[in-house]
Amino acid sequence: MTIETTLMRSFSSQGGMTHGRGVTNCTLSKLVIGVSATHDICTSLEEFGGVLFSTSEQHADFRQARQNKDAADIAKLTDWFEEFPPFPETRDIISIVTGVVGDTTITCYNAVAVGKQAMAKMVNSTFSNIKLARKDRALPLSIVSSSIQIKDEKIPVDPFLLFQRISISKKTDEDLKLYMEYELAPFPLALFSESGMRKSTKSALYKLFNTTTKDVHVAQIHIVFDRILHLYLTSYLTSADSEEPNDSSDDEIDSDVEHSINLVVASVILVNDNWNWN
Amino acid sequence: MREIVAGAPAGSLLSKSIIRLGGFHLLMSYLGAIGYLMSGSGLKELLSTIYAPLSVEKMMQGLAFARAVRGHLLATASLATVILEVVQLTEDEVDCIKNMTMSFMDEQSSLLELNQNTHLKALSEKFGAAMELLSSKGPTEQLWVQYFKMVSLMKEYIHAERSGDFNAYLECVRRMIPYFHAAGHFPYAKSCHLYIQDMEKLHEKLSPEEYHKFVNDSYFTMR
Repeated sequence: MTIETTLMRSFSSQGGMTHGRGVTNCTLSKLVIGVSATHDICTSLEEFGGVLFSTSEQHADFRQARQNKDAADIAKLTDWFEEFPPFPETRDIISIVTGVVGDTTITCYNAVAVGKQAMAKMVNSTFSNIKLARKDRALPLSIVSSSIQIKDEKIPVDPFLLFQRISISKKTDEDLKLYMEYELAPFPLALFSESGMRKSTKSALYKLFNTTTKDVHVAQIHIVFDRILHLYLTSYLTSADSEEPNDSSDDEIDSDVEHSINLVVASVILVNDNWNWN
Repeated sequence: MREIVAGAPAGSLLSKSIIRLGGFHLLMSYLGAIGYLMSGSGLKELLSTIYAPLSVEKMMQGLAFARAVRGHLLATASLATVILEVVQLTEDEVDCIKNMTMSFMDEQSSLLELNQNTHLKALSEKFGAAMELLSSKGPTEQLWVQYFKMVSLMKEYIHAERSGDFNAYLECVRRMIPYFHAAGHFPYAKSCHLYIQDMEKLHEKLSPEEYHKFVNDSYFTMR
């Protein structure tokens, strides 16, 4: 205990061996050898200054920061309970947030009894023969607000998603009646057909565009000659071909016709008056 | 695992081993059961005030263990304040309990002393009566009182495991079984039955000395 609280304290506190920086073997041995001498000095200094290095609590729950956060959170939760009282004094099982009322099939408030009933069914059967059925479990409230029945099986549906869909596609109140007429499909019909997931043809979008019949008039074409690019390409290609150095001015293009055709193509931007650049 | 041991030939080394049910995953499954039974009741919205909604979803599934434990503890702490409003305490009792909690860190009293304190006893009795009263009012009340009880069971379980109280630990596991059944956590429900039956027969398998160490000296969680 003494070692832990006095000797080791200097190691584990701020600036010590196990805290804050990488320690090489060399420094480590210096620290360990020196601690017998420095320990007294450090302790006296701490006593003189009236301050003490110490490590924080090992367990996060004991630290002041966590305790403050806990207190703040409990206050938040208590406020929430004031808004939505958990003991609303009704004869029904309801969700205290949404007020959804559960019918008699909802048994989650009586979980122990439901569980014991299920347990009673498995008395006197061996471990490998135990069959537990999902219908024996208690049904929680979420089943009420968000499930549909398909072939005797209840399937939960996200009501938020449903709301989004309807609010987007609804235009009049008549529409809403129409939407409410049908029982829900188990999967979005926009994505699935009866055979499975719908697949799109990737070129479908391309086919939607009309081909243009407009002719391009050559007379209206301006040729923009990009000198800088031309200079760059000329010097680059000629030096790469290790020909005699070209001094890269426009006047000398004629001397190397074949070369310059390539270069001109590369450095020319065609501009047609008809094209709308906006 | 248990099947392998059961199938091992008698007298072999393997047949002598005893399989325990892992405490951590048992508790995770239990947290999942709490989440299932409370789904749609408003617990999710409650916890969303202090945690991000997606985290809460994980907590309700029994994942995010540390978060779930803290969340449930805080939720029951504030639920307790709501229940306490119903509880009628005498001034004497309030003063005594206030003093005790204020000076708890300075003059720590042992668990035995606390158990014998009459005021505390009165508090817990009145609190229990208040819970019964509330739960008789209607199913919604019953659900939230049940939530409080479930989390209390979780607390007891953690306490028993950490303090090494074998009998209390087994009792907690036993009380968890109905919840596993009700939540449809069937593998754990089945295994817990088997586990408890195995543990009841533990004294047949262990020598008296070993059994004593295991049960009374809390060798089952610590050494």
